[in-house]
Amino acid sequence: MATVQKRIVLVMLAVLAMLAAVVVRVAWLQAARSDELAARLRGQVMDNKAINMPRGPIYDRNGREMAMSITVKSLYADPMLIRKEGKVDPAAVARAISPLLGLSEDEIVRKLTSDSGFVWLKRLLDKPASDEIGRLIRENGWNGVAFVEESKRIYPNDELAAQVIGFVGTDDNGLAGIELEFDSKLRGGRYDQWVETDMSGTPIFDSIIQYTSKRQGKALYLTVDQVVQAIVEQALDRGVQATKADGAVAIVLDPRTGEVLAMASRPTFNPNRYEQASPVSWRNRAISMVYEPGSTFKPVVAAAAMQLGLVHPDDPLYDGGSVSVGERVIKNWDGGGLGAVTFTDIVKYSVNTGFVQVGLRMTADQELDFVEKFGFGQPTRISLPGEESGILFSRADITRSDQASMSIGQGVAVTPIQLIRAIAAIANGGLLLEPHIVREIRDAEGGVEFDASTTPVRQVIQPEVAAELAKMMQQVISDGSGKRAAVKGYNLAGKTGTAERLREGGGGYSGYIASFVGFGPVEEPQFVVLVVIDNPKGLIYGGEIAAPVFREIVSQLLSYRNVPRTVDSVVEQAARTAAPPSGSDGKSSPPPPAGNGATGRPVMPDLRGLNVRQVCTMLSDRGIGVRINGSGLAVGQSVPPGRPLDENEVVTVDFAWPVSPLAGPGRQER
Amino acid sequence: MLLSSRQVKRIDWLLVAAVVVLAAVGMAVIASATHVNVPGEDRYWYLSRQGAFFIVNVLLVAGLLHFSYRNLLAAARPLYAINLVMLLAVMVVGQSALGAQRWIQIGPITLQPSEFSKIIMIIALAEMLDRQRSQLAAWRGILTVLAYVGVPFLLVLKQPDLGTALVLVAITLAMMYVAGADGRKMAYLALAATAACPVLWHFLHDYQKNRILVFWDPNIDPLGAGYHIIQSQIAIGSGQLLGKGLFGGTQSQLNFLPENHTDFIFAVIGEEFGLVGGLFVLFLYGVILYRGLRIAGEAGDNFGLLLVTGVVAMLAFHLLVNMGMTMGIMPVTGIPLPLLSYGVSSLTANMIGVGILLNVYMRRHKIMF
Repeated sequence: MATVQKRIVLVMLAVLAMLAAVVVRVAWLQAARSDELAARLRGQVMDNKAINMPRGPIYDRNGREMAMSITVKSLYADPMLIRKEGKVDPAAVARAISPLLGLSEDEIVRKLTSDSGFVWLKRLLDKPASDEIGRLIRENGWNGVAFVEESKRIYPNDELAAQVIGFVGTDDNGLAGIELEFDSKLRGGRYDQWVETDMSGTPIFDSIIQYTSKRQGKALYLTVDQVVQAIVEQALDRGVQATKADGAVAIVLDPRTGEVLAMASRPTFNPNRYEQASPVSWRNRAISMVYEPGSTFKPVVAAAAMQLGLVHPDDPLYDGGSVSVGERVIKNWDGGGLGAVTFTDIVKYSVNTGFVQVGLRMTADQELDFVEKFGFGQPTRISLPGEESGILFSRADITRSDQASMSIGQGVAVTPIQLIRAIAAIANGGLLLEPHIVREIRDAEGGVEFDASTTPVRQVIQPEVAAELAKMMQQVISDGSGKRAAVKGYNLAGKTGTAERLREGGGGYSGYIASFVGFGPVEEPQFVVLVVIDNPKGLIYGGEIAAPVFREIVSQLLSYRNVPRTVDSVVEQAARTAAPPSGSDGKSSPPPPAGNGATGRPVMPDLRGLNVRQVCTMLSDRGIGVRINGSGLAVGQSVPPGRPLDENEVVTVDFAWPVSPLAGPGRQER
Repeated sequence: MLLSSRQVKRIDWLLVAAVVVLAAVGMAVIASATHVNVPGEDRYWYLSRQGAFFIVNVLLVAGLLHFSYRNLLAAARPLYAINLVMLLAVMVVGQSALGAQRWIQIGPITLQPSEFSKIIMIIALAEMLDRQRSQLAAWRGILTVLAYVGVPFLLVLKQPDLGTALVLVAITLAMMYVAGADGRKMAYLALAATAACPVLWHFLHDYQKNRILVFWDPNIDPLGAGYHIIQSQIAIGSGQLLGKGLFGGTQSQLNFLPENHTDFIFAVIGEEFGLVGGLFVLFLYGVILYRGLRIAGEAGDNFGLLLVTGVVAMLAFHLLVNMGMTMGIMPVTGIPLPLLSYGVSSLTANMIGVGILLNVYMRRHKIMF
């Protein structure tokens, strides 16, 4: 038995040695080589998909969406894999998905059989189509046909502020406007998404293992007010339609802060389908159009001369109808002369001869100093791409006649944003501000990254001088060249302008540019409005075609802002004393808006399902004041459809998105 | 009560505990490995089947403890005959799976006779070696034993089931050695067997040759014959120290690792329980093998000693070959991990083996009843 015991011990040792070998091997794999093997596992189980995080949204100053991104799926195929495996029949796939993609079967088959490892079948699919195709892929096991998530940009208000906002390309990069200027902020980071896949490469439950919300694009809040923008765009559209103009610009600026409340440019386009529009319409003329301002430049000249003490409102001047400077003869617009007048009259009636005399009281350097101090000749640094700086005479070779031309707004070229900023300085007690259009930038967690503040540039003229000038400009509207800009019940100041139009590409003139710039209420200016109409047909004068657009914008702006009426309005006084009430009324008021009831009072329309822009249009056509609540499509209104409205009654319209747009992380589509 | 209190006292509870814990670990891992890829509605089909058969086997073993293992002396030869019939039956009516004929369908149960063949051969060999003990010093005795084993060995090999055939070799060698066969002659035999390998090579099926080739370098055919070895090692290695948790093993769950509930169950253990889990399982096996050899040492008679030696050799060789193949230190031969792998036949055969250990331990003193 002793041998047996010995042998059992030997067997035991053999078993022990064997167990030890296994233990060593386990430890070797799981400790020493584990990192390498784990990496190998990730390599085959996990699929790294690069995902573009959605772009940040663009909001107006009240947080209403102007641009937003939704995550949609793009369908691609791997034709090489399909060919290699030979399990998927391209014809069958094409037959099934052709109606969903809106592509012909032949085209899909061609793509599926192309000689490549990656081909887009269709990008940015809408959700029903991608859901259905996803189901087909799962059910039929189409290996080699798959989705990648991409961001799609949506502009819910279509054309509204199109050139300001700009647009993005298919690859989600900003191509114009704010989208381009702030591309680095708005752009969502690319991030690597680890997706678990099974042996056939199909993602497991569309699993998302990492999701870095920090990479989401930042939200941008504009200073633009969507409602004001809508008001401005409609007024401008009507102005362009009435005058058959080539183009137009309108800007609304808050003179106290330099904030752009609205900025519109014509021709325009729908950024949702920008590629279908002419590239000319993409251009934001408000900052890139360089034009001779004509008489709208005169307040700058007046401000300079008054600040230098070279002229006062009541100074007598003689208007002989024309004045010759050097070899140049400058005439009034109608060729006639007013005779002995005050400087106030010169401003009121935009007398060229008077402005030439006053302008020439300054040296060229003095006048250019002020022109530059008012911000001409250099970009305003508003954060929009494509801003022009305009053209000024050079100090070295400016002649007397050049200076005379400049004094009536000729021979200088400005951009609309430069001009409105200069006039805003007059409205703002002589203090020039930097205009801005971005109010706030917030990161995806809501933290404020950038908060625009009022940025003073310089005090150009003394507040007293600015106040005197404003009073003179008020008379332009009350009984001067800009009567058609008047709004009943308010004191407004303004200046008309009609200038010859520089031929595009330089070389002489062709056509005219009619403009009107003004601000109000004079007592405490809340906004400056500039309207520029490029190459109108028929009537060409700023006082005739730009002033009514200004009037339309301002009257709605005042009611939208609930600005109290100035009871003791100079316009009303003038109306009472001067013009016969019936005649002037019939001329200045627009044709009775559609939708008025038998009582002559407007009747509330049904707004449900309309977007903000459509609602604003519809209500302003009827002369109804509106308060906007929320964003999206109209879902409720404070006054039921069909009810006649009292004068000055303001209705509240509630807006909501039918389906909340995908805004950020946390939503995973299955 | 199944057992009397006297019997209960004589049970090797340490061995029982190790077996029960091991089987429980096995069922948990089977549940994890099959709950994703099981076809049909019942995702715990494998688990419930394994669990049910474990209970049946516990009852069977407990019942068999009433009878002394010495009764097997008389049953050995008839069992040997039954074994041959079963193996022949597989060749005639057996079902093919994975390229080999190994199964017989009896009602709802699919039997794998080669699993039982191992236990039967342990009994038959123990009886024979017990009888022929005096002759084992001579070549004649040794060759008689080899011939006795050789018939079922060739039948198993013909199925083909290389793994089981090798287990038979291991069992035979261990039992002969402990029975007192001449050490030097056995060494000669081993040498002769090694020398015969190149000849045997030609009798192997292509897939068997492949398995051995890829064992040297799995990457010569990473998606074919080498696939299992690579995937299994990836699974075990990626488990690292603590594993990914039960049901957490992507490698095992996502169909990267076929046969993960049977032959490659140790890879799932490695992935989901990590090094700690793997060592724990090895520890449990260590307990079983240690207890087995202690029981062999204390066996009441030579027949008991040989039975226990055979069972321990079977378990140990299974362990070595199975774990070795999941970790790439042994060629892939389709043999399961005892008590852990899913498989009714394997579980039953191994439980009978455990029952033999308990039975011999219970009757370790020569005069008992």
